[in-house]
Amino acid sequence: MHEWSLAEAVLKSSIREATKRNIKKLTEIKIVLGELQGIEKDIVKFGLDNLKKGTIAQEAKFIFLKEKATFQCRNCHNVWELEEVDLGNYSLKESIHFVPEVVHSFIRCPQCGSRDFEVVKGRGIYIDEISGEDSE
Amino acid sequence: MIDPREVIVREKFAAIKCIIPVVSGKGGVGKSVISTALSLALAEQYKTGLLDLDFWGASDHVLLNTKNHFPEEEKGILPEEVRGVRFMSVAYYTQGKPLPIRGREYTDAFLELMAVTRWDDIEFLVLDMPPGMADPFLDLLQYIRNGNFLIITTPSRVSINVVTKIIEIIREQDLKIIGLIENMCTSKNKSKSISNLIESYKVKYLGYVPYYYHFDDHLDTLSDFVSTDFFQKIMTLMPYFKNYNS
Repeated sequence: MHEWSLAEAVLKSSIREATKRNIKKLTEIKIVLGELQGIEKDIVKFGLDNLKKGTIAQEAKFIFLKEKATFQCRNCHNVWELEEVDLGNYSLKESIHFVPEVVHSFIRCPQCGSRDFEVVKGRGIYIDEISGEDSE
Repeated sequence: MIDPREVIVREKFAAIKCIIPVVSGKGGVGKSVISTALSLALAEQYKTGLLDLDFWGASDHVLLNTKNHFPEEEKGILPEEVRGVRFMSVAYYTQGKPLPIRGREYTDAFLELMAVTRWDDIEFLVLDMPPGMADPFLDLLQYIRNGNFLIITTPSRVSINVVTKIIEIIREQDLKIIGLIENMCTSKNKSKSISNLIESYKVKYLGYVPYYYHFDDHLDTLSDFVSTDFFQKIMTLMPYFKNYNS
């Protein structure tokens, strides 16, 4: 359940950002989950709901947005999506789940075979937006 | 867009008593074997972690003879414990395949591993760094402000030339250097180049490690590794490190 660590990171970063913006109470945190990392939304939400207690995010609502994984080859410029390649067995998906960059160990550009490609979108987790109020 | 990992990575590094990035600038000078041996030696007295940050040429897992399975998860990733060393490497996830990644991807993998790895109450964290001054070294300077650098060089002027430059950057950043180890020595006498280097930059010379011709014959098991003269030599350097545990 390394999603717990990611939930902790999301919450701490949101609170830090809120403090910078002088937000006293967080009302909404929009979180993007990239397809490549395959993070379990429910586990992240469970972590956030537990960790937010007693913080300025106590009453915050978490909105989750999914982002499709898109790749672009740096060699031939071909663009493709994750569903177009076969990641094979469960253990490869697990490896990518922990460290998405290891995708370069397992897949190659479907057009030219190069491993030198960029994950253009949908890599992992990030905070898209935070909203709140400037008084408690 | 906010990257949630950055805050937590800085926090995690800041909470560790002593971080020892093992650097050189030059490849092939023995950073990995010294990082591994140093971790094993420290683990005899302290809670110690070892993080292999050489993603392109990860090799500490070979020296530690780790099992090829995913580390356990419990509110994060628990490093595998090998002879007292809590060990983490990208090698657990590449399944023996090459990892051809560019700089930005290196930084992402570095942040990911650090954000999810639970080092808990370790006193020492040894970082085995790749050669060069590209993204891994720059990430180190960006995210770890409490590092105590260990410099490795061979007696070769070619190595010393590159090492001088990395020391210059560390000094510019006002970061601490524990000292320098001269590795793979065929003579007990310090060369003029080494003497000039340590004098110019006021770097402590921790000692020399001889070149062991049959070192590779002792990598089959960990008990074989720790019985080598090489490991015993690293053990003699322990007094230099104990003051950093506070």
